[in-house]
Amino acid sequence: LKLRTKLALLLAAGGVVLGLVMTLVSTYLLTDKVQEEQRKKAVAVTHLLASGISRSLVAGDAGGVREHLLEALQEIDEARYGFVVGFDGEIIAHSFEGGFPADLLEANIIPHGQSSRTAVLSTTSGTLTDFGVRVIDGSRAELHLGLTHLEFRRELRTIAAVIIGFSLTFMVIVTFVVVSLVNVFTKPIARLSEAAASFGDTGKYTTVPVTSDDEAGRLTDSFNHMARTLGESLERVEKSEHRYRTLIELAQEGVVSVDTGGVITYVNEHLATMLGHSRREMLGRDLGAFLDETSRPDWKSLLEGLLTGQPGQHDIRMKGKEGEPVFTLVSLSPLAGPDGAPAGAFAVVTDITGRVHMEGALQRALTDLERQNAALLKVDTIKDGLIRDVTHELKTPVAKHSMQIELLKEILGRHGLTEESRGIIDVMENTIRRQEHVIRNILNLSRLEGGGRRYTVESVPLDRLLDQVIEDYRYTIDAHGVVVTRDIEPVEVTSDREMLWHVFSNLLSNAIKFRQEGVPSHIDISLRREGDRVRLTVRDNGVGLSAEDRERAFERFYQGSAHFEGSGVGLNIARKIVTDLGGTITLDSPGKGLGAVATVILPPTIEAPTA
Amino acid sequence: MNRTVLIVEDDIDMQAYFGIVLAGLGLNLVTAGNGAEAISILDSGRNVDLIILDMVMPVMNGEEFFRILRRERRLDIPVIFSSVDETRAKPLELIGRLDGIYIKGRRSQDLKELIFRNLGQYS
Repeated sequence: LKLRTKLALLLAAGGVVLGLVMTLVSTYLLTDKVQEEQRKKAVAVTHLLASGISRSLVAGDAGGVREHLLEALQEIDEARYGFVVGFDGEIIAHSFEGGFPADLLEANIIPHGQSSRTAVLSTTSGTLTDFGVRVIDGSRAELHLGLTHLEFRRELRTIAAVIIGFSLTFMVIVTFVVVSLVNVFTKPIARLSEAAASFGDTGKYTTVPVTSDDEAGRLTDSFNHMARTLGESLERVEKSEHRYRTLIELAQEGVVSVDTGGVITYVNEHLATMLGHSRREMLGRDLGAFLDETSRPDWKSLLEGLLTGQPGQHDIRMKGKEGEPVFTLVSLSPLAGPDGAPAGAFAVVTDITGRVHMEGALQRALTDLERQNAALLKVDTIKDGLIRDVTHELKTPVAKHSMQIELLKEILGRHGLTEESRGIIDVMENTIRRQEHVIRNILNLSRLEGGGRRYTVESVPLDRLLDQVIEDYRYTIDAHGVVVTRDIEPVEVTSDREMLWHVFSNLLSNAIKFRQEGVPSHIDISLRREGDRVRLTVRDNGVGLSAEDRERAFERFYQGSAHFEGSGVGLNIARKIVTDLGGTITLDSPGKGLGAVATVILPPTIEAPTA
Repeated sequence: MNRTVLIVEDDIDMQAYFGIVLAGLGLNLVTAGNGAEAISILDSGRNVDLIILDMVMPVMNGEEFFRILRRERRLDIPVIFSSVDETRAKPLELIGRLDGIYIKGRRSQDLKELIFRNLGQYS
């Protein structure tokens, strides 16, 4: 724009100079031409006049000379004066009104031998050209005419001056106009340019005021809008970057980025602290230098794999300031440059040293536990063997007695058994049965409590099992005249048949055992489905229980009364079994002498319990 | 020809009991004091139709004998397990077929029935 200003000025100046030069050149050319024409005309007229005058002069007719002179002056427009010099150099005639100026005679003397002479004279009334012509050759008679001196140059100089002046004025005006216009057009652009530069340098944009509503104004407005939007975007980007930076800086995980060569390009405070270094110490160094020797080869291949795009999580053993291992879990991601080519890797590092130590401790604890478990199993095996041995030792003599009594009975029977010996044998048999029962209960209890008994889960038809138990007690039931009524539904559960036999047997034998003297004994057995569970009740009209007895009935070795013989372990075992099989057992009684109800509720199926 | 029953039992009282109970049934009774003796008897080529086997015995117990009988000798002779403790039959059942369980102290009739059932024609 400034160049254009210069160009405009240069053009204006060039025009002025050219006009000036042309004016001067044409002036000179024109002046010479006009002067030549004038001289020729003057010479012709003068010579023509001279011939007329010469005749009058030779005739001595002064009046004729004067007549010719004035006539000639009349014909020549430019003529100002005329005079004739006679043969003796005296003035014969002249056109001056107030007398001939003497100095004029000396002003233009025609040299000897020449016929004419022209001289330019400066007079008080302007410049004149004096044409002098010898009237008769060889004489002193001369005719002089004074003509107005044609001088165009001076006028042309005036014209030139006017032209130059006008040109200069024009130039100034043009310059002013051009500069003004340029200002009008370029100022807003210059301002925008300035604002843009400042925006670029400082990142802060100062709104350019809109001074007009023309294109420049609209441009400014658009530019302002654009810059504002850009500024807001930049601000958002900055804020976002700040947020992310803060996030990474304050993260409770180590964050590190490396270039393709594994050199650290960024590391956050957390990781530096984790490894006992300062960030300054770590930046620009190979990350491998901060790894435990065992992890370095892994790291190399990991980095190479990563650069070809395989992110993942890896256990990497890093190294603390003192060389102590720092167990970490490293999540690696590839970093790509702006052109998409691999630029390095980004890693989030979690310190799992505590976890690793804990895992170690856990592993040791587990090993200890396994050892203890093995020891326990051994103890268990020993105990199982012990129980088996004790069982054998306890049962064998009882079995022998039982067998011997049977044999004895048979032998005695062959000789006819007396009432007395039958009584003795009955007592012996009962004692042995009771003995068997006691041993059985004690062993069952110890097996159940000691874990020696493994439950066997199978499909059990409870109704048939109950029938069997009742049949097993048929002898006793009949012997004591007990009336048993049954209300039994066909019900099948998945449970342990043998153990349930013990439970039912225990409940029935209790109901028989605790009958009241002198009262016909009734036992009502009911088996019903109740929802998805099964309810068995054994109700008797026996001696019943006090509230206190009810509480203690399930205690081991508790016996309701010294009057009733038994081991007292029956209900205790029954409850243990029912609980293990996922059921409940309760004993209710309205009070002493009012009978009792035992209730067992069983689930339809159980997972095999391990007692 | 009479059937032969091999009684493997270390307890003399028990041996006597079996002798008394099984006498007069027309059976040949052979007694072994432990598993090892029983093996010797079988190895001697003696024909045995039924074995009544005790569990707890010195030298070679019932389980060990049963293993050799069923697994090594692959003999199919019926075996009635005889013990005061019926739970001891479990490990034997894992080894091979058991043809009956007699719980010592129960009625002798139970034992007789088991024998009859296993020897077939006796009833």
